[in-house]
Amino acid sequence: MPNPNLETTRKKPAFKITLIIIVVAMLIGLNLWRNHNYSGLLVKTVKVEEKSMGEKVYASGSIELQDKQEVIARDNRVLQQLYVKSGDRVKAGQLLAVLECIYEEKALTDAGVSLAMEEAEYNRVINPSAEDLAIGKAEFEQSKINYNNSQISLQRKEALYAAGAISTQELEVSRQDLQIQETAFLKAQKQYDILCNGPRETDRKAVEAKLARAQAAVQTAEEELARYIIKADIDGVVLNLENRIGDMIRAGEKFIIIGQPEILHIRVGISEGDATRVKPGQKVVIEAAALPGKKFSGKVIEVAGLARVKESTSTRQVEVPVRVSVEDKSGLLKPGYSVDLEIISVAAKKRLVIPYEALHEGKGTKQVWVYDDGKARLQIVTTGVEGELSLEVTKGLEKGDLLILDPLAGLKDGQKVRKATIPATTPKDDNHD
Amino acid sequence: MELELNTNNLSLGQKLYRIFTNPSSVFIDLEHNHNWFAALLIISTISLVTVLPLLSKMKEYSMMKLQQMPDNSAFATPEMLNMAGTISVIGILVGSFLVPLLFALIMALLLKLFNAFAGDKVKYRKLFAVCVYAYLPILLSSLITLGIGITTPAESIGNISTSLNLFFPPDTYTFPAMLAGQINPFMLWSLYLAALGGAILMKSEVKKVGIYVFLVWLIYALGTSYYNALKMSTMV
Repeated sequence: MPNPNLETTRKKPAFKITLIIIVVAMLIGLNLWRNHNYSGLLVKTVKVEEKSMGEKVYASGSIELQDKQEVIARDNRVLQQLYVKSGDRVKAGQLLAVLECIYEEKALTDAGVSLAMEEAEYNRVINPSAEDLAIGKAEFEQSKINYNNSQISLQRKEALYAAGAISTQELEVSRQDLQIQETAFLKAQKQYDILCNGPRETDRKAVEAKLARAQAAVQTAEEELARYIIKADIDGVVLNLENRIGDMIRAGEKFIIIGQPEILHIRVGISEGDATRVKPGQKVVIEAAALPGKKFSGKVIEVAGLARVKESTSTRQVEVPVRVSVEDKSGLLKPGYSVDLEIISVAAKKRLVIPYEALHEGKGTKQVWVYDDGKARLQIVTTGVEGELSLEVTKGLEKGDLLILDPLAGLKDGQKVRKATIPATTPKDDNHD
Repeated sequence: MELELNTNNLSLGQKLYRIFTNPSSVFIDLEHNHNWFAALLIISTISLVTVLPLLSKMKEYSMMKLQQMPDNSAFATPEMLNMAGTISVIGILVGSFLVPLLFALIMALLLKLFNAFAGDKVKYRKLFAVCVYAYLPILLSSLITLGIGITTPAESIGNISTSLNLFFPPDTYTFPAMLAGQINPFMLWSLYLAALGGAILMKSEVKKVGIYVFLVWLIYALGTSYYNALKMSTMV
């Protein structure tokens, strides 16, 4: 059977070779044409665009009460009286609860008695009453009379003794009596003098010290007692109260928490790299994990003057504590909620923006490669606000300039380059209003 | 009309020449004398030699491409980049030597698959011999590439092509461009030769074998073009 494929062998080799040569020549020609038109290093490019861009610092924390009172039991005590319940609004100074305090009450009573006694003594010495003065005067007059009588009596006895009417013994008794009356007179005179002109300095100080000690003892007893008679220190709402009358409150237990739920704040740690950009008064956008999709506003109210170091087994982080006030009138945010913060360190506005991939540093300057009519041109730029994916250029570029992305290390100024067919996309998620 | 049926005992040189001028005579000869090893060795060696003068340019080009990859952190240092370039060059060398063998193995397998359903039964090694010689047009394209490559700067070495994507700008990754990249006259010529040789050995019609081979190639070309276009679009 004849092979049907043999007819394919009929064409002359010269024709085939000519055909091959033509095809090869065409291919070479096309390649040379293409290399001429599309020569140069292939580069990805991106346009310098004007976009709304600001600068943010990100942080996480949890919501806290700005003003709060946590009542902590000092020792184990029974809850004797309770005047509020959870959710009650209270005023500063309002009585909240009383813990068992028998010993403290007794100590206060004793201290009060001692103080009363010391006050009486003080008044007697320092501020004598008219009655005391009259008594003192009477005692003084009486002692004076007694003394004068004793003198007359001794003179009379001496005359009698000289006449031999009395014995020596009787005379000595009169002399001793005179001495006693004289001593009593001098003492009464002195006491009357103190009543009239005040005590000596040392006596005054002694009674004053005794009085002060008694007063301090009363104050201490009162303070000790006050620890078990719980009063509100601030205006607010009873946020946590789970115990009932008769419950034993354990030492260290926070059994009443009072706060103002409408005045909240957040404490966060900002990394040292970002800390210089955060200042009091900057606006903050708050998002709570418990309220997805809802945004709340706040304001930086305090940036600590000192950084703190947070160390774990594998990391060491330096943070600057920052306090942020929460502006929430809805009441949806609760103390304890976890929140993410965006601190707006620079407000958003239209800026010339380039992606980080276009920027590199050389000889201490920031540079970009500009695609300039098929050639790479090195351009020094000045940058401004930095976003997450892109940054602002304040000097050196104009809107619409074409930049080379991720330039190769060996790229030279003036080198021929060609753009990739599909242009690189510019980042879009750095914008915020 | 001249018929070149005197094909008895063609030498290796004659076969390598006649595959371009009178392929039927080569395949008829292969029916009786299907030695392929020497031909494969020569083809593979020439294939290897065609890339040797371009190795330094290919390495430079590979390093540029690696640097331009979206995730190029693995090539952050010059040493790592150089090592990656060296590895890619080794890959090119090994590939250039092995591609003729792989082409012959796969094409022979496809022809054997066709032979399972049509034509006289032919042994796989005979079909393999046909496919080894059928690779010669592709080798010709390698030689053309070498010629152009010598005068081309390293950054443009990847632009050299012998397929229809010459009509597209370089680095065009659209589906039509990718498909045009698959339409290489030398590849189609090789496929035609494989189909012709297979048909002669199987005593079947070239048209039938040709359509079969063309359809298989078309599916491959469409599939890889679509996949590559999709892959490139996600990478950029």
